Amino acid sequence: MSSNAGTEPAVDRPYEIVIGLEVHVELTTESKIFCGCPTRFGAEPNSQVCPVCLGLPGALPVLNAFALEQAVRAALALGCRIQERARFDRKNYHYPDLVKGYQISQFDLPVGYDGFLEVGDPDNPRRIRIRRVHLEEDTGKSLHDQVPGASVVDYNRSGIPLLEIVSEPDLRSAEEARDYLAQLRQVMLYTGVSDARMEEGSLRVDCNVSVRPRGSETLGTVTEIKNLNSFRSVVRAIEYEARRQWEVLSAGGTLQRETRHWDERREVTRAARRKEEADDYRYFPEPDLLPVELAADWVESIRAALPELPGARRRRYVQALGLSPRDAETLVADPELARYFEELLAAGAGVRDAAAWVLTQVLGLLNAEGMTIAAFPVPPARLARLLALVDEGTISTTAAKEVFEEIVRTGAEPDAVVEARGLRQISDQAALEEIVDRVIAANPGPVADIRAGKGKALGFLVGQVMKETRGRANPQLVNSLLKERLGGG
Amino acid sequence: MTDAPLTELGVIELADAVRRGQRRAEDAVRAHLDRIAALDGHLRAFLATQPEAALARAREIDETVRRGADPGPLAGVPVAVKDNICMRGLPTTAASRFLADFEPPYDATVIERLHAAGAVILGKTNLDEFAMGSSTENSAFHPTVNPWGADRVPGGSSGGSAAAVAAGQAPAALGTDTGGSIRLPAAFCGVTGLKPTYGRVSRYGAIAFASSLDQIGPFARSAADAARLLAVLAGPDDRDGTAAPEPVPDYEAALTGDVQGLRIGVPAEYFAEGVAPEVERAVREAIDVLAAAGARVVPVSLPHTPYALPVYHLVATAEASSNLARFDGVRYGYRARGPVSGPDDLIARSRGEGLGPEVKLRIVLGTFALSAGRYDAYYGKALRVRRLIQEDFQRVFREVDLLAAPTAPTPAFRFGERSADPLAMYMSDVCTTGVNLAGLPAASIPCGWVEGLPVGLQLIGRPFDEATILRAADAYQRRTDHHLRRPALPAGAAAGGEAR
Amino acid sequence: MPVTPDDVRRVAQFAGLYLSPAEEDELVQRIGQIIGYMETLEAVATEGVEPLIHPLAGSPAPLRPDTARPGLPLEQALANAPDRHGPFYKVPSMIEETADD
Repeated sequence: MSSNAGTEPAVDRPYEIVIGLEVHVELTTESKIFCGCPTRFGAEPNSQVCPVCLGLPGALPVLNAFALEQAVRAALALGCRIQERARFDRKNYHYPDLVKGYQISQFDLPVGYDGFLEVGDPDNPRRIRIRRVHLEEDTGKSLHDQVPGASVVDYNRSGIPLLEIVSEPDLRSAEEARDYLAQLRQVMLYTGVSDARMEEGSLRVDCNVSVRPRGSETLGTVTEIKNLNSFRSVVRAIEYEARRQWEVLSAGGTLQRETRHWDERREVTRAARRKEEADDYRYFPEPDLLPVELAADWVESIRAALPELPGARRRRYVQALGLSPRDAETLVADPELARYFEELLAAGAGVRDAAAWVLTQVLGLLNAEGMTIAAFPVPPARLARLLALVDEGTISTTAAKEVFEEIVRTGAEPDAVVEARGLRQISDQAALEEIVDRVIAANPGPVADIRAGKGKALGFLVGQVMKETRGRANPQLVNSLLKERLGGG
Repeated sequence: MTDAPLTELGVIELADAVRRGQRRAEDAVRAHLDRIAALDGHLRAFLATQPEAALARAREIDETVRRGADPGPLAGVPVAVKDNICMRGLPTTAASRFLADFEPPYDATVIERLHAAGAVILGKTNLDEFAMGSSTENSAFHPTVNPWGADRVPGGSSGGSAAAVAAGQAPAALGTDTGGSIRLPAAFCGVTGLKPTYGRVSRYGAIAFASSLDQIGPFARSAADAARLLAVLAGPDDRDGTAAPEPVPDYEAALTGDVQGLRIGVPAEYFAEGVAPEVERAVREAIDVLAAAGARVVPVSLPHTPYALPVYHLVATAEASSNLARFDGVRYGYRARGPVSGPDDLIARSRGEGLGPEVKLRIVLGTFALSAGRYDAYYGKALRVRRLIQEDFQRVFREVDLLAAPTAPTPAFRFGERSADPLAMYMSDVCTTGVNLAGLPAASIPCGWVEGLPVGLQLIGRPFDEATILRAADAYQRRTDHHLRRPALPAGAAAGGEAR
Repeated sequence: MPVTPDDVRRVAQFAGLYLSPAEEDELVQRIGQIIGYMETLEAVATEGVEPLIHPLAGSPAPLRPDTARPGLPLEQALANAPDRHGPFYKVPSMIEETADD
């Protein structure tokens, strides 16, 4: 079976891919979900552990109030209904990284349920239903490359608060799955619930994939794919697995409901070692934690304090501000960048100019320097002033780029740089008329060409005027004066 | 009174004498350590002692007194602690091979509270492994002998603590009670034992058996002493999400000796067949004493009582099967030696080798009750019947203030008598498990004798109304002397010597 | 519902308990006895009765503020480790083999 993932265009495929995603995000909190151990990333192994998150005998869990609030916040942002009473349950199984031999999770009464996320074209989005959003604790982390023939475990991660977000199998392509993940990540960033980075493990994805003939309504046999490290792996794994499944079915074979691992190197999915028995997690209500009432007015106060969410913002940028969907997407994807853009507008910049400058000059610089917008040294008001100088005609666009470079480097004010460098455009009509007439008189050849209909020579004459004025003439004005005198060529 | 041998003093007497500078904590601790040394070869109530640490702490208490400061309400009181309560400095074994070498890096909340109150912990006492049993015969190390009869069990699972107090090795001890494990040994050993309301005392640091049933509670030789101990132990704890916020009343102030008008219910179902006639007689006589003192005795009914034992076994074993899953040999405890085929194999062999047979039986039972396809019929069903049992109690407590019943259907049985038949062993708890299921407080106090063996009277109260239980128990003890009898112990174990 | 050796074996596997054949036999017997005893609950009418998990129903659930405090010092955290490698707990290799396609 080849490993070329999904090379035919989707429309030509005889089968439909059906995908559901189970996403885990690490919540941004100071302390763990059931104990006061710090959650800081990158600490020395086993330096952020205590009797509770080590599962020592006699230890007991107590719920982190802010973790609960973050869960409600995320569930609301994902359009979920909120449970009146949240309850925890034990999920029982043995594994070295699971300190108590059970994980405290939520089974019957998750914090949020019946939510959704919109993907695709903002003007015509598809709604992907979210079945549930629930809280649970993370396990320890095991490493297999530290000691030959053995594994080692670090429990710093044990007890980190996680949110599990389960979608219905409403996704229909690998690209759509990627879009869903990108949207989900943005919601987490906007609400401050998680920084949701797959590379750091604060966003983890398991895919449930099945195929069926086009037009069929029945769900095919589902495979769960684990060990996905990036959005790209998600796309490739889905396409590979869908193809693999279809090839099996087309050849008359049957599929097993199973778990497979994505092999990043070989770009294939491989069956996990089969267990004799399917796991029976024997869920039962957690007796060490009383159920939590999620008071309606408390939930409403969280809802009221939600920021403008990415979907709404995207729509607003496209529909109210007139940005292209692509530009809107780029801005929205980084909430800090979007915030900068909006502050720029608030400081008086026009939408088109602001978008253009943020998406090209600013973003270009950030990418080149590996800088985040938070570290960008030009406050929005200062950049707005620069844009105003261009808008007023005081300086040309070319000059503005020069000024931009300097204000980034030195922190100077745009007006000061314009004066110091003498970049003020000459827009004085009378002065320009005089120079234009001189240039016309000095260049009879090109003038004759223009009058004869060869418009290209106009540029040469503009260039001569710019040369005379050392680049400071207002090029639009020069252009229109020349056209006036020479009849538009 | 202050001339009495130190090992015969009660908690209040001793603490108050130490605070007043009349007796020295160091002397009291030394006297009790001597008594342990003299008797424990025979009784085997203790799994470990910490003489140096205890004497050092005692000297600190004496120093505090000398400086004119108050070391606390339990100043210099030697306390024995059941070995399923975590304490630094010694192993906490739960009487299991699995934890034989486990030294916790932290103290249970109750240990911290005892220390802060000036108590001196002598050592850790024997129990049925992981608190699963009614006779202390399930200890992986050795049984404990009942001070009232060398061939008799002390009851369980807190047998070591009860025996230690009965034998004068300590005036106070801590136990845990999940289905009767404080009350039953208190009855068998002729001492006072109290299981507080669920949530009254923090469980942080108690090795969990059944999370919704376990409570830590005191043993002493009088209700008054139990009151002083409970006051120190009780109260909310931000490390235990099931510890109740209810304020702690002044239990000692409640001991007025007056039971005038107190309504005492006598539940018919607790006197059913299976309760030995001599036990019933002793218990009814005790109730008569309270009636003579002015209490009103009312017959009541708790119709779901016959179901308490099966409900208890389903709920407790289900929770236990999960609570004991952490004993996997990865981070602490027994780890199987030799080659293994992977983590599952390591875990299964460590548990298979390190855990005792009764523990494994209960884990399997509990796992069974929770398993797919069986949850509703077993665990789910049990939880519903549990509510009916609680509702029975709620109903009768609208009519009465206290319930009086036997603690156990028989006095202490002999070693080996019940261990072959698990159901027979479980029957020891027939009068006690309902209380845990309903989350109520209850105490056992000695109320009579059958062939020289003590009989326990059980007093059951409303949630957070330990004060009424203690008042009735204290009133009874002011009018009787069963709680003052001491077992005759082997020669060489005469009243512990002490320096004046 | 009689309890079979297969039942016990499967349950022991979930419970992570290695049982010798003798232990298995004994457990089948004893569990059968005890389960039979527990089935007396079938006689109790429980329609419409809510399960009771927490005897203290009605208490508000206590919550913790989100403040971090230091954990155990490393040596205390690892003090009881049956096997360690530097700051890590050591266990037999956990790498999951994958079956061949």
